[in-house]
Amino acid sequence: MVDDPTTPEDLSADVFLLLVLRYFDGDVNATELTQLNERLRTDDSCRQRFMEFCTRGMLVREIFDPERQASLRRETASPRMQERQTTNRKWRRLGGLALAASLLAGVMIGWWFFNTPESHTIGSLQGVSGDVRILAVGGEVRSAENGSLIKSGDTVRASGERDQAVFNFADGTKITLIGDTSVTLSDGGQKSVVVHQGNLAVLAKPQPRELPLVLATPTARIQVVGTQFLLETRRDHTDLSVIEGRVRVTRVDDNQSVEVTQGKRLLTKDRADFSVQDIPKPHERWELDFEDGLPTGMSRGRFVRDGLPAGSQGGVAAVRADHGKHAILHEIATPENWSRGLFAVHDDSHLHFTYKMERPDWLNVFIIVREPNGPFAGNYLFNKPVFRGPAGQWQSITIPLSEFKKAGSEKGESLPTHLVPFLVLFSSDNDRGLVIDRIWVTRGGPGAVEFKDIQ
Amino acid sequence: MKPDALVRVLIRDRAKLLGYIWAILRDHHLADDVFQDVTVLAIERAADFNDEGHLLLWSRKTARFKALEVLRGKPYRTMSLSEEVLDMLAQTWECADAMNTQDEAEYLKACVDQLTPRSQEILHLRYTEGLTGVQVAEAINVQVGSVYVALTRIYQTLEKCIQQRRVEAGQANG
Repeated sequence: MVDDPTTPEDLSADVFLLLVLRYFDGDVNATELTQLNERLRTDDSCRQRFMEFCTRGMLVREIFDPERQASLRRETASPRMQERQTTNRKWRRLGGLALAASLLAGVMIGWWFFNTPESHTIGSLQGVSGDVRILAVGGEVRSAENGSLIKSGDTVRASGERDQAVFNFADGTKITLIGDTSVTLSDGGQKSVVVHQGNLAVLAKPQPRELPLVLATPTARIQVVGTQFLLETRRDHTDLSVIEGRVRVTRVDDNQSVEVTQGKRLLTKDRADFSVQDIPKPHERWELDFEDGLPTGMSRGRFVRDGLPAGSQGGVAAVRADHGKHAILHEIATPENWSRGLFAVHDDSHLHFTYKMERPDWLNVFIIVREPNGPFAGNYLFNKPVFRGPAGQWQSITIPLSEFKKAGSEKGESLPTHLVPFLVLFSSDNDRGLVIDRIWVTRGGPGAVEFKDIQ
Repeated sequence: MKPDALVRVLIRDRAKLLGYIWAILRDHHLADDVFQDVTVLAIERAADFNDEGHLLLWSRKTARFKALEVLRGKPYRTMSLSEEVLDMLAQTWECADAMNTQDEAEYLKACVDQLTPRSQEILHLRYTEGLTGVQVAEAINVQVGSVYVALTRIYQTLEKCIQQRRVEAGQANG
């Protein structure tokens, strides 16, 4: 990791870079601009660095996704910074250049699909929960609610991992957006869904064979005549699981096509095989040990190497997460595996984790689940006041999954075995100094909460 | 070119083209607007482009024209890079057409993940919130000079990290 850079003047600071930084701030005088022009004119390597600086500046905007932005937003909470934020263009609030690019693609593709002066209504949204917004073809952005009408070419965006909306085409075909998902919807005689990113559950009514429902992702084109399937889309891959019926998938890179039938799965990823497999079941056992760093997609947590149990090479520390009106929390969240799920739930399944807290107090442990056919199914919580052990002492805790109860439910139902966990979250209000060395799930266990000290 | 292929190319290379526009305008929002204008124009003229290289060359030229148009439209005089330097930078960008932005993005993300939270916060304020050095200094309560030094060191660290990952990737691919 880089040393804390906010120290007094660094004599080795790169003069050229400093000039470039101040150029972009509009903070150079005529003489300094002449110097910059001269450096760029005469020095190949300066031009190359300048080009890389500009390109990376744009890429950095995409790296900071909404969740990470929220956790860093505390530093911009001053009234002056809030004033600046309110002058930002509305669509920038939806989170980052990647989204801007995806929305732009949606606008362009919407324009491309429908070269009509006015767009017509093609369906409506229901089941809207959380932060869901609509970007119209003309660029207007509005919040979505139950009953919001969607016109051909509109883009719908659900922002947070637990946000959701169901779009109903006029013929009853349902597209459920789950979590951080963005789609552009159209119907000019043939229904089309451009999936910029995220997770969908699709229930398609029978379509004319010559005009199938088409879903386009960055890596694949999927044709549907009537079926039910799950779709996970990221920048570099599309993961499709067919629950019922059949779909035809064409890979964008090379136009190779394959048919995926009920019970089968297809993953399109750069340079990978394009072959249909059985839908994998969630793992019976599952583990994260952080020995090789944080796994891909783990956006809430800070990798640590020091102060770990003997022999351990890596752990994860809780980070501050700004949930706005839901307060500031300190969290560790596993990578999300929505498509396959993290692990299977059985009556004898147990969750274990090795941890320490510098300031022990209560800790919420969430298992977040979806239905087998896709839609979000709730948060199951373990929050018994058991985390009051010695400060800084490494311990392992074992919790039967049956101890997890549905959050927000008066009945407190236990975690059903048919649901599919896709995220595990550790959360507290104040900073407990929580560090986790390892998380794992097993079949079998003591059937009760147990602690074990780690030397 | 077919419109869908055109869109794929522009989306794939958006960081490079946006970076080019930003280099002239020095404003993220204006750069996004110009990028959008260029893309819409490109779609209208999709049939005119022979191949990807032709499209990217046209896009940069059009982007430069539109960006300079924006600057000329400002009520106050804005100092910008000279025409000669812009010509030379266009060539630098053209040489970068072969650069795999996806790989670059992956290396950059991995390297950013290794930065301290403080460094990441500074990057976020600078590049996502679009704050100037003065505004970042105000937000995190340090001297402006320290912010620029911090940004320089962060950038140097990222440069080295990305270069190392390129080398490792090159070795892995044989």
